[in-house]
Amino acid sequence: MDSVIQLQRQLVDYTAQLFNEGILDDQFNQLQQLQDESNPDFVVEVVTLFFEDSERLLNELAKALEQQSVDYRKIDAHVHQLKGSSSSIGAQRVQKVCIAFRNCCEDRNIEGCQKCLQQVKHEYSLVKTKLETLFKVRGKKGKNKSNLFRMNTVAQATDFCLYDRSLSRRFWQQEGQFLGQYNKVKTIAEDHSQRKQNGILDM
Amino acid sequence: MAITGDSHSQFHVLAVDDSLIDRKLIERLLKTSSYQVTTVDSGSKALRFLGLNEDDQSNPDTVPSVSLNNHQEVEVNLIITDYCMPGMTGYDLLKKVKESSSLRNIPVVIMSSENVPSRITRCLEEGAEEFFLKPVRQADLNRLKPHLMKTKIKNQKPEGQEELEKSNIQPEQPPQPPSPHPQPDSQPSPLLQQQPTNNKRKAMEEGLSPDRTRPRYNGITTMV
Repeated sequence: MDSVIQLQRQLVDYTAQLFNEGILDDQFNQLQQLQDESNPDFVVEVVTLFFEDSERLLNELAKALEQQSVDYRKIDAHVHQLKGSSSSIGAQRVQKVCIAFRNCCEDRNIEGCQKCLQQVKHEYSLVKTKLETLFKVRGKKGKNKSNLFRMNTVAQATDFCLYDRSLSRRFWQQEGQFLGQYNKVKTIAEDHSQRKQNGILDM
Repeated sequence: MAITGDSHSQFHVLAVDDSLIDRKLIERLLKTSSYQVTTVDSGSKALRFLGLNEDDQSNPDTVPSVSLNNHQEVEVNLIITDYCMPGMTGYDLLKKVKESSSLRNIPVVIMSSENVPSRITRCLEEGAEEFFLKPVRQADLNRLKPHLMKTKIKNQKPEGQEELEKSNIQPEQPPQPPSPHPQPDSQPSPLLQQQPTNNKRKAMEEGLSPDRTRPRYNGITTMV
């Protein structure tokens, strides 16, 4: 099927771009290499843990920065954790912002910290959306979380759009094209299996 | 316990890390290398698993009876631990292991996300076999084999040693002319005493080895 081949090509390009833009680094490849038939969901499992952990940490950071008396040591501890986990899955841009964030903590620079928090939230949104799209298109066994992810993606995309309009426009164009192709292929595939079920063998 | 003289018998690694993600990663990495893995999230849990209470000192009267009972059931061939952990750090855990008469033969490897030369030196001086920078990769774990083989040698009769030495140990450890004792790995008991100095030297030498893809001991080589 032409559409499938096209999708496959787009998937390769999409993935390559993630690496070119430094959103993911080689550690993500290392994760993929650890996945095999005996552990088919390894990457998704680890990345899901990263999402859960990061969201918790980002909430804690927001709360900590709102306090009357800011506890920089606690903030630094949270950022250190986030830096570690983002490094472990290859979320390079998140990791880099964490390094800057820790410097602001050391300087007890409240404005710097607030700015870093915004930046890290943005980078996190970006890598999360990208990975969710990747998983959706590549397919993941186990529970079908695509609806949940879609909702989160929209919420996250809104954050993202507010951050930088020009970037977000390009981003959505890209996402739209890619997801559009995926939906097209999905429809064809579903139609095909439906016909098979009905006994109309479609070669 | 070495049940047979077979050098392919299962190695059991105890991995310690407070990060769930990193525990999952290290477990997968180790299992890919066919090691048996147990993961715990703290140093104190690690000590409990090893059969040692935190308050235990190297007391020859009390420790052997406690550890021997547990040691029969739970044999650990290597401990790999994160450095930065709340409560007991990886360094604290390393110290406790090396201070324990029952556990000090177990090789300990430290992992850290931060490349701090003084930290690396301190750990190696305290008896850590290796220091890995996170994120840990397959290539890092491949360096664990010789350390694990050493513990098997100690548990085996002298006849089995030479074969293992030839096939596994020699290629991994370059000849050390400045060593005051000739071929320290050929006998089990001298190995115990000389381990700390050998590790330091080996680590320094390996810091210069060409197959290292990422700088790891940069700080140490300049500090020397």
